[in-house]
Amino acid sequence: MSKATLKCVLISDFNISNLSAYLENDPKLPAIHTTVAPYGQVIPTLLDEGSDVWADKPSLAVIWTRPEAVIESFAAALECRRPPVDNVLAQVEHYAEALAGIQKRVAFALVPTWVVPTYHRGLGLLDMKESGVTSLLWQMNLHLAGKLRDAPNLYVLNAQRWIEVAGASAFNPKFWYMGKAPFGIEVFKQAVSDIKAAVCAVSGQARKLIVLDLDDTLWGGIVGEVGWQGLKLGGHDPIGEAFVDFQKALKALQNRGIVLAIVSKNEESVALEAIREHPEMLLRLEDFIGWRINWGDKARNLVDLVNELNLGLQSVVFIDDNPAERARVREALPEVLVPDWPVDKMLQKQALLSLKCFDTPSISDEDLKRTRMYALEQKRSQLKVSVGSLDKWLPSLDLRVTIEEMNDGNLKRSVQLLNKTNQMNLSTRRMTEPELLAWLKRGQCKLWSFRVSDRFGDSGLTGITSIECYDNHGQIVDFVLSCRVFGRQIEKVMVHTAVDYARRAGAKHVEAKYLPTPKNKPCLEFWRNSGFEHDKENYTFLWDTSKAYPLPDFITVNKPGL
Amino acid sequence: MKSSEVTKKKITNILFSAVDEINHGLPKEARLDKSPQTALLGAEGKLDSLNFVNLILSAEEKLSAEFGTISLAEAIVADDQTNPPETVEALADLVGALLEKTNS
Repeated sequence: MSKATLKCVLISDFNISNLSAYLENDPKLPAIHTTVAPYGQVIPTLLDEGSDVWADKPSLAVIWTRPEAVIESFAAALECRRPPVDNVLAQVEHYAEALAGIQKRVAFALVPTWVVPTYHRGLGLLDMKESGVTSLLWQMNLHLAGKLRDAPNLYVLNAQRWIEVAGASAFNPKFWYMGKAPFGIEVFKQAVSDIKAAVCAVSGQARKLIVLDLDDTLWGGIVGEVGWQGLKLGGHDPIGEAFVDFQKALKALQNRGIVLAIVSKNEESVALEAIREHPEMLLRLEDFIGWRINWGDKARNLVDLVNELNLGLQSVVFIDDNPAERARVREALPEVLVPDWPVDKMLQKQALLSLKCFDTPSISDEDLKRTRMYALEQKRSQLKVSVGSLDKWLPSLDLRVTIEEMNDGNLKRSVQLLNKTNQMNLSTRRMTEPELLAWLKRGQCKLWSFRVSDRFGDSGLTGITSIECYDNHGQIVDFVLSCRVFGRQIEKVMVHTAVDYARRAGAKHVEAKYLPTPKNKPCLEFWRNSGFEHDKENYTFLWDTSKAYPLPDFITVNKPGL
Repeated sequence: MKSSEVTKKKITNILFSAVDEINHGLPKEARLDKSPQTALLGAEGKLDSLNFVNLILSAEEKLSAEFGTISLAEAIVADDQTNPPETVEALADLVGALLEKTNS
C-alpha cells in the first residue's frame, strides 16, 4: 500500500472537524491530510476555482452536506410544507452541476448521500407519498446519483449504511446544538472506513483473488473423515443453508471480476470429488482458477499458487476458518489480507459481503470474464507443455492483436489497466479518466490500446502504450501489459506501434525510461532484451528511428481506422 | 469501601473510557492521560471546543447506560453552570452531584 500522504479537501455546511480528525489520525494506510473549506460555504467553494482550498492541488474532495442546507425546497419539506417534487429535483440538478464543476480540480471526489435524523418521521403515515420527507429524500439521492453517473471521477457514497451501523448513536441533537455536528462519532468513523476503501479502489489497490480453505469454510465438516455425502451443505439445515449462501456470495463476487482459488489440507482426489459430486455445491471446479490441495504448509502453497497465476500477494484475500492457519499466513505473508473470520458459520456470508477490499472504480467486460480467461490460460499452458519449445508454441497460438487509439469504447478499461497493473508497467503512472484525457490533448501525445486473442479465446484489452513526441524526440510514457499475456511478444507489437508513430512524426529517437518499483522488474527484463540501446546507469532505453522496430511475423495485427 | 466511593470510582472509570474513545480522533501528542488531574479545558487543557463536546456526549451516553438518564451536557451549558469542569476529577464531581440530585 502506498505510504504517500493524500491531500484531501473537506467541503461541508456543518462542522466537519470530527471527520477531519478521524481521517488524519486513522493509522491505516493510506495516510490522508485534510484541508477544511470555510464553514457553510459549500456552493461558493465548489464554484470558485480560485478558492484557497484548491491552491494546494488536493487529490481528493469530500463534499458532505445536509440536504436542507443545499436544497432549499427540502428545508420546506422538513417543515411539512410539501414542495412540488419537480422543484426539488430541479434544485438537485443545479447542485449536481456545481459538483461536476470540480472534476478537473481533483483526481476524484466523494459525495455522501443525504440523510435525515431517524427520529424525523416527516408526514408520518403519508411520508412515502409524494412530498413526504422520506419519499423526497430517496428521489433526491437517486436523482443526484443519476446526474453524476457519467462523471468518471465523482462517486456517490451510501451514507445511510453508516447511519445503520452507528445505530442509536448516529443522531444526537446535542451534537448539533453544542458543536454543529449533525452525527455522532461512530458515523464519522464509518465514513472514514469507506473513504479509505474508495482511495484504495481508485489507486488500483483492489484485491482480486480469494483463496479459500475447504473444510468448515466452504462446507461443514471434514471431507476426509465423513466423505462428501456426510458434509453439511444445503438441505433443510440452518448451517447447511448458510454454507450455500456463502458460496452464492462468492459467486456474486466472481460477477465483479474477483477470481477464486483453493488452498486446503486434504487429499486432493477426495476434495475434488466433493466439489464435483456434491449436489448442493454451487461452486464447481471450473469456478476456481487454481488450487493446492495437499498436506503442505498453506503459506508456501499460497505463494506457489499465486506465482503460477502470475499475480502478486497484494491481490490476495485468504479465508480460512482455522485461526492458526490464518495466523500462519498473516505472519508469513503480510501482503496477503487475512480478515478475522467468524466462528459462527451463519455469519460467514455477512463477513464476506462486508469486506471493502474488492472495491474498484469500474467493472469492465474483461473483469466479468476473468475466471473463464484463466481457464483458457490453463489450456494454453497445456499446449505449451505438449509442444515443447517456445518458438513452436507461439506460432501455434494463432495470435491476433487489434490496435485502437484511445476512444470512448476503450477509455474505461485503459484507465483501469493503467491503475491496476504493476509488473509489466514502465512508469507506473496512475491517472484518472479526466487526467488522461487532459494529457492526450497536449501536443503530440498518443495512446493505443491492444486487444489480444488467439485460437483459445479472447483475452480482451490487455495492453496500452502511450508516447509523447516533441523536438524530434519520441518518449514512450506508458507501457502496460496484463500479466495474462506476458511473454507472447505482444510487448514487441506495442513497441513497434510507438516507434512507427514516432518515425512518421519525424522523431529521430525513441526513448523509454524505466522507473523501478518493488513490483515491475519483469518490465525491466523485457526492455533489457528489447533490442533498444540500454543506458544501465539511469534505466534509459533508446531506439534510432532510422530503422523500423521489427514486428513478430507470427502475430496478425489489425488496426481498424488507423 | 463506602458506596459513594464505589460510585465515584465507577464514574471515573466511565470517564476514562470516554477519554479512550476521543483519543482515537486525536494526534498522539494531543491525547489525554487517564488521570483525575488531567486538564480538559483552561490554560492547561488540550481539548478544543468540539473535542470537549465529543467527550461530554460520549461520557453522557456511557453514564446513562450505567446509572439511568443523566443530562450532563445540559448541566454544563445551563446558565447557572458558569465554570465548566476543567479536569477529569471536576467532571466526575459534577456527575456525582447530578446523580445525587436525581436520587434525592
